[in-house]
Amino acid sequence: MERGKVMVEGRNLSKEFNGNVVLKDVSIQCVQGEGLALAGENGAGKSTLMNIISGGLSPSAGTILADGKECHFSCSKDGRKAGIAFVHQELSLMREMTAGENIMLGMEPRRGGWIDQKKLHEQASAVLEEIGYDIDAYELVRNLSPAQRQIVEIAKAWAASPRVLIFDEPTSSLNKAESDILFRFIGAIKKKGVSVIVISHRMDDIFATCDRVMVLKDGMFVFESPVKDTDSDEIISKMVGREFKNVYPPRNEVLSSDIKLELKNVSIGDLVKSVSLQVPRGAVIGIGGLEGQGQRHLSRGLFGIEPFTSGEYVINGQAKKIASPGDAVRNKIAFVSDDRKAEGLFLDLSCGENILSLSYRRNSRWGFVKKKQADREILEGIRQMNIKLDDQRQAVKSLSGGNQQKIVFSKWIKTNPQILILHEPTRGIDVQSKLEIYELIRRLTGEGVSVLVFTSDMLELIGISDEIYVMYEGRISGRVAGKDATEEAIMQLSANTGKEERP
Amino acid sequence: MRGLKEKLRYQSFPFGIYGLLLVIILVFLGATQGNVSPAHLLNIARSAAPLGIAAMGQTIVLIAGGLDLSMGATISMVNLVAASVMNGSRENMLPAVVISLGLCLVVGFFNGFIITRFQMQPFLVTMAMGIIIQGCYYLYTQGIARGNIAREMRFISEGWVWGIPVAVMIWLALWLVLSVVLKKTIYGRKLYLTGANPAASKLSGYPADRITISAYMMGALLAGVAGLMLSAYIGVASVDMGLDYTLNTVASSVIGGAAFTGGIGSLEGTFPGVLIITILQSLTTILGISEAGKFICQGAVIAVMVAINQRKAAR
Repeated sequence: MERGKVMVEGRNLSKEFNGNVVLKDVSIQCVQGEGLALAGENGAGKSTLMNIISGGLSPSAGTILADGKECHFSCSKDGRKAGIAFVHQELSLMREMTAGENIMLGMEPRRGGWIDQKKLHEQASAVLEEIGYDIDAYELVRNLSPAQRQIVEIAKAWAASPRVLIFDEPTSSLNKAESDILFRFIGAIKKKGVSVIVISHRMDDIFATCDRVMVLKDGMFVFESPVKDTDSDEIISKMVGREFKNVYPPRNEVLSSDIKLELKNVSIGDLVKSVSLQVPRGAVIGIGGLEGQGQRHLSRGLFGIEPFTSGEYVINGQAKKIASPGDAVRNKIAFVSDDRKAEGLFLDLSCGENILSLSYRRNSRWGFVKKKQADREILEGIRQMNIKLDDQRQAVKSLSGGNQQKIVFSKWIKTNPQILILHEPTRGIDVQSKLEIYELIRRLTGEGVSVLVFTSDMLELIGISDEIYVMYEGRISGRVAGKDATEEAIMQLSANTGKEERP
Repeated sequence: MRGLKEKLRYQSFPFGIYGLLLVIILVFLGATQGNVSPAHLLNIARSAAPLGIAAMGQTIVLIAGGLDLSMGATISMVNLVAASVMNGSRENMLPAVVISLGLCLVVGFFNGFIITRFQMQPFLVTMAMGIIIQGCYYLYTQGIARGNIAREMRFISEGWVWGIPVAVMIWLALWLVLSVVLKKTIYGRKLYLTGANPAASKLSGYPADRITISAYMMGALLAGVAGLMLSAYIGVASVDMGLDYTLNTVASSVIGGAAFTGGIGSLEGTFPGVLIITILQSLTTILGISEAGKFICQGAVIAVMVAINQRKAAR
């Protein structure tokens, strides 16, 4: 096996979306039999770069070469033809088809014009076996666990016999043992001469599978090194960059003893198990952990979307029953969902209507909306949140992500909430809006509002929280004061390897 | 012109559709060489009134993110029930009206309840409901439509007061009331919001399901009023009288800017939509266009207006 041959190469790639520069003149080489780790924060451009390499996106500038020849991918099918496969983080399987059918999609063995189902599933089973997992190829995808689906996704990419295999956060839904099997598989295919690229912000993944690491920050490579010559501290510091801490407004040093919200041993089936926590008045409590450890369900339980099945929900010292979002709103709880397009906004309707959607009662008499007063209130909301728009009658969907999120905040703030539950409050928005939202959160806590932030962005979690709870498999695995929190401490709690710090 | 365009850019009033209505009226006047009296035009408006009222119901359902394909069957049902209960006598007028509108509310409730409770497609639920209603009234009439409408009742579609048809007055009055409800009340605004995004509506603490059900009930009730007016027009029971209305109500609403995605549409748009459909029908008759040609004209108008509305919505 010859080593060191460049199979696919990107030269001077740039990409911009609507004037937003995501990649600036980056070059990357996929070398035969080598594992390349691509590290970087959320939004650093990792996925964009990989989408360009695999043909899912075309670059604004720069060239892609396969085996030294320039090529123009117009879709990911062209990429597949060139032997590049991409295992996406967001699963793209068809739920109503079997695992085998998903794996062999587009390559079904045929017999006389018909798909040979038996052979198809045999071939799929062989692929699964090669990777090292025991999954029934005849099982429908909808009956598989998230981890099994992830494996099927990998098998689907591997079934096309790629020469370059790209993984996007491959272990995010796998446990330790499952990850180890995957690492062994990656080692084996590297020996066969496949070039592997792993996008990850788990240091374990990088050290277990890769030979070389490159760090992307703000669309540029800021660091490149053989893995054996570096360590996780160095990689993390390169990912984070320098004075990132300054973007967060100062936190509360002393927490109020006045407990605004308390959860006592609440559960939601098997998803949230016996969680207890306390939110003091005017404090920001962060909830962290790896993706899918029950944070989403806890946040939705707090707002009554998936009511708690047991335990006690106490607000201002009184046990409350919050069985629906209506109950939550009446108890002055606000909720910013992680999916603002699906749940937070009325996209086709005007900005004004969205801002006003929770404060009709105040702006009406006998069921009739008082137009002048309502318009004043809308303008005030736009000014207060510094929302950039042409006209309050324009549809929300025409705004940028940051401005859309400000509209979500604006509508909730108008209800004068006492408790604010934020789920991924700054996902997919520009830096400026992020900073404004952080400042808003602190302004509100100054007025006595209590805030719960659920975020998968580690830096945000550490930067904004007065106190951090970490979840693991539906439980609270530990609690750290915000000012003492480090990424390592939180990672250890997230993986449940550290010593338990019971609240 | 540019300044005006800027000013109108975010204006929700459907000017385009009124422009189209004007064009169609002018073509109509041209085709008849001006041989139409205002009374003639009012007569066209009078015959458009039942469709106008039912189409407002359809628009409300569309705004709430639904679709009611049982509207035609509901109208037919009202005709058969009202005629048979009334049987031409004045004393039975009130019970006939109450029973038939009550049935409409029941139909609307079940449409909305099944759709929200079981998360089913409005298209399928209301289509099935329409077929069930049809089956029920076949059973009820045993295939022979019986009964007729009391003479006094015919006033609502045949009467004229101060030179204006009573049917048109009822239509305009309902339009005014419903328009105020949709635009000015909290309930109306929540109807739009729930139609635009039911998930966000639920997370805002609205009783989203109840709002949706109420829209179907309103839709069915308006179909019922249209059915009564149409019955008064015809005077007798007639099987399957209302079936054309299902698609015509949808067409009028859609021409007027209502979208299947919910949260979009207005009664100001539906009003000219109804008139365009009705005038187009008489126009094609006057011009001696064949039945096939009528369908092609209607289809073309719907397609063009939907395309225009889509472009507008994309902003």
